[in-house]
Order: sequence, then C-alpha cells, then structure tokens
Amino acid sequence: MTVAAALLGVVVALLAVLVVSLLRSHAEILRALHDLGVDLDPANPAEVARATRAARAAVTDPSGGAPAGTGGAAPAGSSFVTGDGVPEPGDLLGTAAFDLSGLDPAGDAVAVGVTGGAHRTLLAFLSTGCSTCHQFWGAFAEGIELPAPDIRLVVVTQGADAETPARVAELAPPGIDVVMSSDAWEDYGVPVAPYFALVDGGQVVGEGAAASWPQVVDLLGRSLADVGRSLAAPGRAAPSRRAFLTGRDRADRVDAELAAAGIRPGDPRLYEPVLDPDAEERP
Amino acid sequence: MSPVVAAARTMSAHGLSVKVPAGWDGSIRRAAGDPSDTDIDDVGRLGTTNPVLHVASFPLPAVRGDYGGGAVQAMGPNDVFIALVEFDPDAGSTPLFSAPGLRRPLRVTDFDRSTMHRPLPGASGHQQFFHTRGRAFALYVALGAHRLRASSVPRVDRVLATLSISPR
Repeated sequence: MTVAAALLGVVVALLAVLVVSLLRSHAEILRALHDLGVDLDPANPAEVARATRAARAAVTDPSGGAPAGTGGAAPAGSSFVTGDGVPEPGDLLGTAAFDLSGLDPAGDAVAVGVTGGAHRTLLAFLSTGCSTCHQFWGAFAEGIELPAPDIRLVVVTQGADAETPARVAELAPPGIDVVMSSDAWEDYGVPVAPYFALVDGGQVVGEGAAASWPQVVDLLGRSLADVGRSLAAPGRAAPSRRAFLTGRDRADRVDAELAAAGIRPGDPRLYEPVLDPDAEERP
Repeated sequence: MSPVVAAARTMSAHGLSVKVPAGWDGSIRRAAGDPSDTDIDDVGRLGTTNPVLHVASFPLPAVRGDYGGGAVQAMGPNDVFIALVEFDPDAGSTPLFSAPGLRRPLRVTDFDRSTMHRPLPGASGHQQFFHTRGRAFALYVALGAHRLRASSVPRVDRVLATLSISPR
C-alpha cells in the first residue's frame, strides 16, 4: 500500500512538472507571437475599428451629410444634437487603442507604443492650422503639468500629405514626442482638432475636445470618474461599483466637491435644517 | 474568444528597417546635435550624424543619447533597449568593425554587467561591431535585469531577426 501511494505521488509530481512546463512553453509562444505582432484574431483591430466607424457613419447619415464633429448630425435614434463644431461624445470610449507609427518633424521614422506597459498615454491630436491648437502648441512649449506622473503626452499631427513638416517642426515643443501620422488620425477617428484621447491598458478611457489645457484635465477627470477611475496615479484602479457608490470613495468625492465650493468641515451651512418645500402645501 | 493582439509596425528610414513589437517604442533618426554619450574622440563633439536606430520595450524620452543615455535609467526589470549606431563607412575597414555582419542569435552569455555604457544596478549589456553592405555599425543592447536574461535575450533576438540593412 505504501509503495502504491509513493508511486502515485511520484506520478502526480511528474504530471505537475509536465503541466507547468507546458504552460511555460505556451506562455513563451504567446509572448513571441505578441512581440512579432501576430494577430490571433482573424480581424485586425485597426480594420475592425475603421469598419465599425464606417458602418456607424452609414447608419447615422446615409445621405452622406455632415460628418461627426461638424455638429448638428445626430445618430439615428439618438436624442441629442451637438452644436456646430462640437463632436459627438463618447465615440471612442472603451475601444481598443493603436500604437503610433509615422515620422517625426525632422522626417525620421518613429514608433510610439501606446498599447503596452504600465503607463498611460495622452494623445493630443493637433494641427498647425487651427487657432485653438496654437494655444496647446504654446502651452506645451512653455511646459504644462501632467495630471499624473505615469501619463505620457504625445502630440499627433496628420502626415506630410496634410501638414507641412517644417511648420510642425517649428511648433514642436521640446522634450515632447511628436508623431506625424494620418493613419493615427484615421485609426482613432479624430473628428476635430484639437482632440484628446487618454489610453490606459490598451483602451481609450477618456476623450474629448477642449479649448485649453485646464479644460482637458477637467474633461478627462470627469470622463474617468464616470467609470470609477481617477486621473491621479495613486490607486487609479477602478473600485468596485459598490465601493464607488457607497464607500469611502464616495465620501472623498463629496468632501472634494464641498471643498471646491468653499464648504469645509464646521461650515454652518452644513448644519442648516433641511426644509421641505412641500410642507406648507400639505393640509 | 481569441485575444486581439496589436500588430507590430515596420519602421524604415535611412536604409534601415525593423519591426517594432506591439507596445514598444522605436526610432530611426540622424542624431543632429543631440546629446550623445559616445566618446568625443570617436564621433566628434555633436555625436554621430549617421543614422541611429532605437527600439525599446519602454517609453523612450524624446531627448536621449545614441546609446540610451537618459533612457536606460527608466528601464524596468523586464525591459530591453536596443541601439544600432552607424559609423562612417571608412570605419568598416578597421579591425574593430571587421566582423562581417551582425552575429546572432544572441546568447545569454553575451551579456555582462560591465558592458553597460553607464553602470546601472542589476542591468547588463552587450555590444558588438560589424560591417555589412558597405556600412559600419555598433550594436548595443541593454537589459533591465541581468537575472532575467534568459527571457529577455530571446525577445531582443526576435526583434533583431527582423532587422534589414540596405546599401547606402
């Protein structure tokens, strides 16, 4: 009996070693495929995104009218209409992000990894022609404070087919990556310039248009708060829905909003009796 | 459902071409007066003006030296940095660059802590010089952690397998 048990133990141990070896080998193969860019899904994510946007545009405006971002064009079945020059919201949120590849303003080749690593990437889609963009070119050149140290700012302009490299080089802020790539604009479906997209974990987690850097930070902060994330680096992982709605996070958010309104602990306004506006109307 | 994997991007310029793995950074550029950590006696005050290829598994800072000065300090344990620095064609006839072509596959024994251009705790490096197609190059590779070289070196080698060099 003892011998049989010992034999069984040896067999189990050997099988365990075999399974671990197979898993390790499998992981190595997956990593190699990933590094080589082998697509395990039949559809390329960039093609899927483009096809989705094309299909959405066809449904939205079969007559080939105003594109997204030009305002006034509401998706079929949508209850809102955006104003002139205001892009439709939330078109990219949750969609897969794309690595960037193109030229830098000097005409050299550059590739920027957006989908990998532990960092977040803030893509600033700017042009050299729009006046609002010049505010951002200027602000970036003077130096802006990013909301968190793990956020990497990358400026993306269209390629040499739509931009003048010399002009981009003239405006390019020192120390900030600038990629000229019309493909990137198409991949991300940029509706208007300036436009911003925050990528985290291979997904677009925040997006929108703004006229100034503080507006960008506010926009992205709100966008992330909607999904229970924080723009700040520490503890930016999404809390559980329960914690988000009822837990300490909620208390912290309320405290922050009260503080922003000038109401701090001990403020008499916190202790005013709650009036019931319907009380006098009741018999 | 099979996971969707981002595609590698082929980066080409100045007669050099390489596939940059998904999520990695890369560049092929002429270092026009960039801060260089190459010895002044070798390449002059402003560093080499020949093409420099960089591929890295981590975000590369916009300003960095030919051999990763200002960049490799940000490497994590699993990160790797690859630099292919071209020298003047005349250098190809010198003993230092006499090796005909890039020697690969790289082996874990090719890496040594003392080969780092700038010593970093735990990191190691590899360097080799060669000539091919009338061009002279130095390949420099840095690993974030020498103890993880068994998994890092094959990743570097898979990138180098996609490297293509054309005559100037």
